[in-house]
Amino acid sequence: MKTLVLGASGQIGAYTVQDLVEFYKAEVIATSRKLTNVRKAMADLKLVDRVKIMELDASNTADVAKLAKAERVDTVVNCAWYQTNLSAMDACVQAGAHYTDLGGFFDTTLKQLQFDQKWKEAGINATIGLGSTPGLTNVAGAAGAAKLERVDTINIYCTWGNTLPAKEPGWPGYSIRTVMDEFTQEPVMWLDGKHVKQPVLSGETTVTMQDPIGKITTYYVKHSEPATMGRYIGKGCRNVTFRIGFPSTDLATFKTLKSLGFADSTEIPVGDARVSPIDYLTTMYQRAISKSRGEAPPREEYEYDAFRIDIFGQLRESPAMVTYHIITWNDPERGISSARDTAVPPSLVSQWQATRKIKNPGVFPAEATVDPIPFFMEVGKRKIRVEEHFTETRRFY
Amino acid sequence: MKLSVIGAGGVGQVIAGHLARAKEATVKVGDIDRSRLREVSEASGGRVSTVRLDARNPDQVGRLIKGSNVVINASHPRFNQLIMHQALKRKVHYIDLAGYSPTDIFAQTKQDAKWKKDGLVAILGMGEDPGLSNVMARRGVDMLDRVSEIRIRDGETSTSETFPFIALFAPDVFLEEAVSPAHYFEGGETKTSPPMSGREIYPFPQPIGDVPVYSMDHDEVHTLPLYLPKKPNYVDFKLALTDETASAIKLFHGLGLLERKPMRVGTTKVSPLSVLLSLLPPPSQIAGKIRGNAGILVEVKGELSGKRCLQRFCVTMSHDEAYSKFRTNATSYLTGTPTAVCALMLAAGRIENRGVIAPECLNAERFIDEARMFDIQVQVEKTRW
Repeated sequence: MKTLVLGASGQIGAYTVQDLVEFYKAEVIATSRKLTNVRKAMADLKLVDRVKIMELDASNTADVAKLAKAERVDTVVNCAWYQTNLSAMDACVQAGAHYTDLGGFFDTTLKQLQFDQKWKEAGINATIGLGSTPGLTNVAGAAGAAKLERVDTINIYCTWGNTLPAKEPGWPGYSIRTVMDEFTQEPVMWLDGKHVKQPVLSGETTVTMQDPIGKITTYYVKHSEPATMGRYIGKGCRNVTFRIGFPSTDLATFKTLKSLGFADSTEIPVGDARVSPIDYLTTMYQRAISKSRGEAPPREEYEYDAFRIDIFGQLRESPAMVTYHIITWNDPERGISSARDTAVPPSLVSQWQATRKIKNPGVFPAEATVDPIPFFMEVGKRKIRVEEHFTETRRFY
Repeated sequence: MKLSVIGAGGVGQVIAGHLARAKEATVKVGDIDRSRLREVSEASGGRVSTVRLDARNPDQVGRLIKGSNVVINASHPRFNQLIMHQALKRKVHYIDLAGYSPTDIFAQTKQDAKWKKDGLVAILGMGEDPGLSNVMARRGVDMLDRVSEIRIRDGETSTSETFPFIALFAPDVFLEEAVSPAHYFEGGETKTSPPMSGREIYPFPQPIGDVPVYSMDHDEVHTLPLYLPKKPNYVDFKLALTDETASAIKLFHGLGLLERKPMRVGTTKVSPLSVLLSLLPPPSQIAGKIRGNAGILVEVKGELSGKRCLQRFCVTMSHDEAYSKFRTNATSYLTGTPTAVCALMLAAGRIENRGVIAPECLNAERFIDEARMFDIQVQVEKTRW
């Protein structure tokens, strides 16, 4: 299979390229807006001789289409920022290539789904929102729904952290730009069969995750799962919520950065220059990520990404609940961080598209086209651990 | 009396205000920012004259201070040497609020002979701390036969709903101090400890109470062992930081936001620190929007008549009081007022010292008495055992 990866120098993109090469022996064209960045990323992961490296701006539809056509790629994986999703998809239609990405932060996701008919006519598949969240979480929702006759509510919880004694403030494990968006944009949840806007950081609730995490406090955050799951899971699904339990150091970090004004895009005077605070912060983040990627891998499991998905519904006239616990630790053997839980799913789905395991033409969220059990087993090979719990209620009255 | 003030920020405005109210004082204020000059002129009821001035320009500085008795650098410590040089040239007494670095302070002190020869005095670090803290330390030392330890604790604690991070004096100086190694004096030598180390919960008198404090590098640690007539065995300085502020500082440091090296973003090239500073509110704009108190505590331990003796000197002021009485915050008030007191005493001939000195060289009892007339009440607590 031949795959074009956009944003291959980013926090996730580089690992997606690695997964495609190492697990599927795919022919990969690794691209990013700046050639030096993608070259360094590939060098850090020792992939320079195993992939084609090129400079390509994911927001430039014409350039992406031209390259995809010239190289006759089977699939395109967009690991660049979600604002480039629509232009990248446009290019795929022109080139006749299947497409996947890491998510559209709700609004862009809904826009992408509107192109379903166009993609049906083009005979190609776009399965969008295929990171960890969205991605693994949507598939877990589908898996739980498959075990039930009716679905009432799906609650999704996400957290991350480490077992180090000192909690130092640092950059997040995903784009700081997205983090700032999460802290400033009102989240939308699927409640009573409708999309309902909520205040920023509302919906506080405590939830119990698996050991060693335990109880965490979580808040509503704008995310793509409530955009799609109510409609695509079906079976009467009336409620879909998404919450993040920020580790307390990170919560303080993000709140401070936001209240200082770092989330704003309006330019401010700095000496004689004018600077957009969010652009500046994003550049700093990208440099920090690039710098840390080359460092020596840790020798034990110490940092994790974890999800809990609760699907409530009915089976055989009784209430039932399916719970998925998904946890990914850093992999000391391969020297890869827990961020691989976001980098692996798009590689996997891209391969399924190329091998026609996913073949329906059109634009779909993950819950609509990804077969859960084989998916979980495949990610399990990369030590992304999915565990299913099923609780059926029996009434003796 | 002719007095010049360079710098019309939060502290400069307090200084200018006091000087303007003094009888027979003619006050000139220079600043690079016209809006700050307008503010200081309005606040003084037009009693100060203002000049737009770039403190980096020696000729402009020289022209401002020509004919003055005293010049005060209330702008930034990096201009100390330039302004001091002009003051010596123009035969003007000099006062600043803090040293730029220990090396810079020593370069200033090395000019002692020149200043003595011309009958002039340069008083280094005459604010709240350094400044009033040094004076209180000297008062304590004067009342003992022998000194063993001096501990200086700055207990300023402020909270605000509007601002997530507050710096009530030059933010860049504050941040730099917080992440630089701390110095303390022990057994005859200056020693180093890591940045943000030495955390302890320190008991300040009410209304401050128990607050977390951290070791910081501060001028007092460098000058007190040199200038005090009775040498202490130990001198240290710690600054109160709320846990939120300490976390914010660690955050800025961890993310590289305190770097001074310019970074290219798009078509501009600016340092992370300058972006951070542009987002922090300047101290002059915070007054009235914060809660809490400013205060310093100086503990002097030693021997008196064969008995062990501990003296605790303390000055506090709430931000509410500073705002309702003086339309400023308590830190700016407690920093600028000792400077103004010193400048007025100097211009009126009530300071005899000559050469380059630190505040601990002044007549401490006299200074504390004069400061009382400006709402600075030094409380003393003595224990003997």
